[in-house]
Amino acid sequence: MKAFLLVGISVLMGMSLTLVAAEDSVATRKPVLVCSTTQIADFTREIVGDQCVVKSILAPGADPHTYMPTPQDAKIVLGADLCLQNGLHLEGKNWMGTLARDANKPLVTCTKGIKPIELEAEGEKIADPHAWFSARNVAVYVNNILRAVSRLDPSEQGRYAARAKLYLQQLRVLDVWVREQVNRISPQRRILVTSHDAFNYFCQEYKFNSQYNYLSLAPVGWSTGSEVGAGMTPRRRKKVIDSIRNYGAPAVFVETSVNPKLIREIAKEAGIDVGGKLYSDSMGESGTAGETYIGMMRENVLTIVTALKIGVKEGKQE
Amino acid sequence: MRIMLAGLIWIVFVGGLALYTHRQGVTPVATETPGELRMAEGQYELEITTTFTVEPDPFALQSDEGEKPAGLLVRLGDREVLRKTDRLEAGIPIRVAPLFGLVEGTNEIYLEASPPLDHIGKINGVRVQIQRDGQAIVEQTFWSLPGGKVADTLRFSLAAVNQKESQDGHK
Repeated sequence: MKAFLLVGISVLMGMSLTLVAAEDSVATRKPVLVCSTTQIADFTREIVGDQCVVKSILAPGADPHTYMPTPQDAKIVLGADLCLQNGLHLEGKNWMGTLARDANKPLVTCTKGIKPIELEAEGEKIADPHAWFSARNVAVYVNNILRAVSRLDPSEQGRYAARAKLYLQQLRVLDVWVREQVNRISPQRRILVTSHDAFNYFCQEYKFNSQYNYLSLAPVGWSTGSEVGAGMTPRRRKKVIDSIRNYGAPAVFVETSVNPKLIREIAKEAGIDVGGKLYSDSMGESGTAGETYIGMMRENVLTIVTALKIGVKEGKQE
Repeated sequence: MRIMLAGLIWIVFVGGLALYTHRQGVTPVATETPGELRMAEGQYELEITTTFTVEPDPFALQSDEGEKPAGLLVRLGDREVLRKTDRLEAGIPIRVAPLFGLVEGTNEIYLEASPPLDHIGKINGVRVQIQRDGQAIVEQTFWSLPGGKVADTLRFSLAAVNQKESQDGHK
């Protein structure tokens, strides 16, 4: 009799536990957000916290212009509830758009609403995709991401908005801090020469390269790929070396996601030093100071200010 | 007989468990009922004066499409009493008159004011004044961190008309 009762109760408890576990797994299934770049993934994480799973297709240090998606990427996108990209052709040959379309997943373009800087090349106008180099533009990214995740998961809209508000305040503090730091360099020495044309928004927002209408100076065009206006041309290379000589640029900078060989050659030819390494199209590895957007901007600004204000030797860059 | 007994125990066990969980779900939780709020007597006005040009904040939250970012935002509790999305000149007072919704007891007015982004290193101030029937009864100035926006709360207590008001809970 006792044994019969015990078996009965055990079966009942087992069934109850199974039901509870099944209910839990349904309730805790988090939305999966797949982002094209490390920057977009960082902005998204700041908004959704641990309430969604955020994945980045690009690894730290990878180049979005020349990236070739892998079968593993297609598998990741297949499991997504929402895909997010930078847009403005940062993702070379529209690789994120293709991944999302093939998997039939919704895709959000985070630069929607930003007035792009227009570059001219070979008679064509090209919208510069590196909009995140102005913290003010990142506020637009954040609002776009917030709207998208709120539509995806309306029940958590309040928490997403509260996190976004905090992050926007941090971005404002960052923006004010960048202006204050940059202000330490005299306007004449505020010359930024980098590996590729990624810093136009930075130059316009924080007033670098006044001699070039506040646009960036680089031997390689807006993309490291093969699009119109992309890549290195002898004319661009010469223009950079002439500018360094004419305006007395104190240093040039390499980028973490671009081969540094060319800019080192230019530095040698112009007789100046390399001022340090800047995060550009990708953020830093996990555990480094540049693993977040705010960290990346902070480290870039410190590298630039130290090299241009103090000089490379005293600043001990590289 | 044994089978019937087992079935009976099963029904009692599961039924009891279901009844218990149902009761847990519907048992009203004791809640604190707040005291009745009495609207403060008199005609109130709010006056705000900034030491800087207020500009729409490019870092404002814009959860609804098309919503313009505010440069100056004032809230009384959960209710927005002022939202300015245009540029406002420094030193020119902005009034909310009449100001509805103040109660006897503690009131809080939250404000955010956004200076231009190029106000590098400058400390920005906002003076807030509450008037009752034309007389200033509460006044405070809030300051920002260098270059930052002003975001703070004016906390004050309103007594009945014949009693003295206090700020920050001090009588």
